[in-house]
Amino acid sequence: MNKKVVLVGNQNVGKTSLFNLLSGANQKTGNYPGVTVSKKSGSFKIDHLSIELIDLPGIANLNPTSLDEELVLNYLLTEDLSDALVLFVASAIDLKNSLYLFSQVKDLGFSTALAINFEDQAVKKGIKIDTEKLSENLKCPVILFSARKNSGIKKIHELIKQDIPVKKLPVNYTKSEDQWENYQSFIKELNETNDKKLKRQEAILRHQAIEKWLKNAVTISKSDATDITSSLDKLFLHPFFGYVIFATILLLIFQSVFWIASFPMDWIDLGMGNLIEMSREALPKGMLSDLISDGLLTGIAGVVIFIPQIAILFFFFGLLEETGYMSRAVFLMDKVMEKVGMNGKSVVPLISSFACAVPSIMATRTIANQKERLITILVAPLITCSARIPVYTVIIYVIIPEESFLGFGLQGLMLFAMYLLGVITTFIAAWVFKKIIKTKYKKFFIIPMPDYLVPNFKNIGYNVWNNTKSFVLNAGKIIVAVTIIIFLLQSYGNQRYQQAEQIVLTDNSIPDEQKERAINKIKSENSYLAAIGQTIEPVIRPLGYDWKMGIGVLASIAAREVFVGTMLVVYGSEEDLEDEKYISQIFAKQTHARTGKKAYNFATGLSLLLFYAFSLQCMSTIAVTYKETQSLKWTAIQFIYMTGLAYIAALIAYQLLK
Amino acid sequence: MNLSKQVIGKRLKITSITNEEVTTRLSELGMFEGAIIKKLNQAPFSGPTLIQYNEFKLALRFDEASQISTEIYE
Repeated sequence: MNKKVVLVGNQNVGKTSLFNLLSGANQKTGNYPGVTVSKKSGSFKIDHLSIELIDLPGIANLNPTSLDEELVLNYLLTEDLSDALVLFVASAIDLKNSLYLFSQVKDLGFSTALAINFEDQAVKKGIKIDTEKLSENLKCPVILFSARKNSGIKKIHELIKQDIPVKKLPVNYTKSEDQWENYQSFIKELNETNDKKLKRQEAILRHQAIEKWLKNAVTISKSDATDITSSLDKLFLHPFFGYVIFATILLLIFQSVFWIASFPMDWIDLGMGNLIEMSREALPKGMLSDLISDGLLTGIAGVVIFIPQIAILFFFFGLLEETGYMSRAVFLMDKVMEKVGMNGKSVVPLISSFACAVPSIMATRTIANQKERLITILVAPLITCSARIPVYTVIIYVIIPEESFLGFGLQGLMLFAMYLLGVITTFIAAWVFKKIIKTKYKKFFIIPMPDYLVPNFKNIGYNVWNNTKSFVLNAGKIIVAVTIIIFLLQSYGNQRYQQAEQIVLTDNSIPDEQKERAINKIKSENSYLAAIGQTIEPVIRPLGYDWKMGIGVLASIAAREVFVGTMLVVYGSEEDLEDEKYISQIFAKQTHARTGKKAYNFATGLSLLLFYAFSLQCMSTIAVTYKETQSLKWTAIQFIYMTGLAYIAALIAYQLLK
Repeated sequence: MNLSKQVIGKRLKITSITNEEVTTRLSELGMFEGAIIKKLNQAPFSGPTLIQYNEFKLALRFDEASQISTEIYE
């Protein structure tokens, strides 16, 4: 036996917590077709009944003022829910507000039940809810539960097993009985005509009815308990200290994503390195061994390495959402972020982008407004991530002298300037996208402010688990595939590539200890990747790069930091050098393949810095953008605008300075 | 005085709302002219206004809060 259960409710009523408690780790996240609004479904069993659980985005009412609300309404009006249960999740703290949407949803004519969350909070606040009387008034089953305390879940299971008859509530605000009978088509019409007078008429009648329904069912005894939320808000929303606290929280998250994550990342690096080494030794030498060790396993290592940062970021996001602090961040940052088309919630992903854009793009899924989420995704990779640091430092060492200006080292100032450039460009790009991307709806202006709550760590755990899993399974596939393609392009080449060993081994002028490096150099210059590098040389020539640098630029599509290692191989040097100063000396010695002058002078160096600042040289970011937007169009737009910007900036810099 | 300029911490009575869209949205939340609300906070630099109506706390953007006329309710 199967049954579909759809969760509907306002924002901040703990709908997602209930969804997590019911479906546990059996969740699927995706997007609604064509839009950046995430869709969640889960499955679980009660006895022999298989339940398909759908979590719809939290909304204010059925008169949409945002894309999420339109999606929910469309879902309810078009999906076949004749055998489904609409489980309405309400808040015991402001039941009045919840019942508005509840009465609208119930009028749509589905089998509906009411589950009221925050039972424990209500008791503390002296709110008593008589579920029997309320059930009588609302003509449907009513139960109380607490997602945070994990209580009342059994009652919800019992509810789901029942067959609940469809009954309408008597608030006819339409013009005729006929319209009332066909309420679904009426509400469709009402939203098309946007008859504000009729909507206000509805509001008045519904609120009158809600007063009546609650009268004998809910009693509020004024409790002596002080309002902790208001006291905390005096501090957290303080015009000065509020921002100090927010900055401190951001710093803490940034440090964790950057520093704490580096430990497990080092272990993964070491472990996967050993595994790759072992597979090389265990498998018979040959193409298959290379494909498994250097293609497949290296690709998997490239996926697993992101897990610590993603998990840590989602942990903090869960914590901020669960405690209710996230709404305060929105309140504090709204004015600034609104100007560039983003949201207070965008601040946390953007800060995390300093470590890596991949977890931060994933974290945007908590931004409900689709335009704001899309803009945050599009601009996040412009922030200077940690993969750019090796490229920046080596090139800055080459082109900027080790001198100081007003007591500041010039090289340090240049690195700082690159960071600043990233931040400024992020805001400009966001502002441009705000002007370009059209939406039907004006930005919401009502931000609900939930009470502060002690978080439920089990719920945060599910969040971390499900998001990490979806990254590994979705974006992971693309990352592994691209790694294998790049590996294949690097391990096959022209005749000279195939004869590299022979050429070097028979050349007695090369000392034995340098033979391996010489072989690698010949291979790197004659692989198919190098052939592509040579083909695109006319394109990168105006930027001041030669075809050798072209190989580095191409190879670093895998990840930006690959540039340094690839260039070292091309220059016939050891591959895994650690000392950036020493590497920069090798770079400084190279001559340009076309001009014969220094390959890394101030003009080409700055051109490279700007190219790496703006271009989307990161297949993991591309993969995760595709996963989050589910749109080839937006993935392409992101790649094209960033690479275009990179090309133009590098071109101008080189042509002016050469 | 419009809501965004009102003093923090005072109970206020909504006397009029000049924008029809705002009127409709607030009426859906049960806030009609004459409703008693409390202003809890005001973000700096023309940021949002935080208010409380019954048990419900919500923030309104500066533009919208500016269109709500209020008087201090003793």
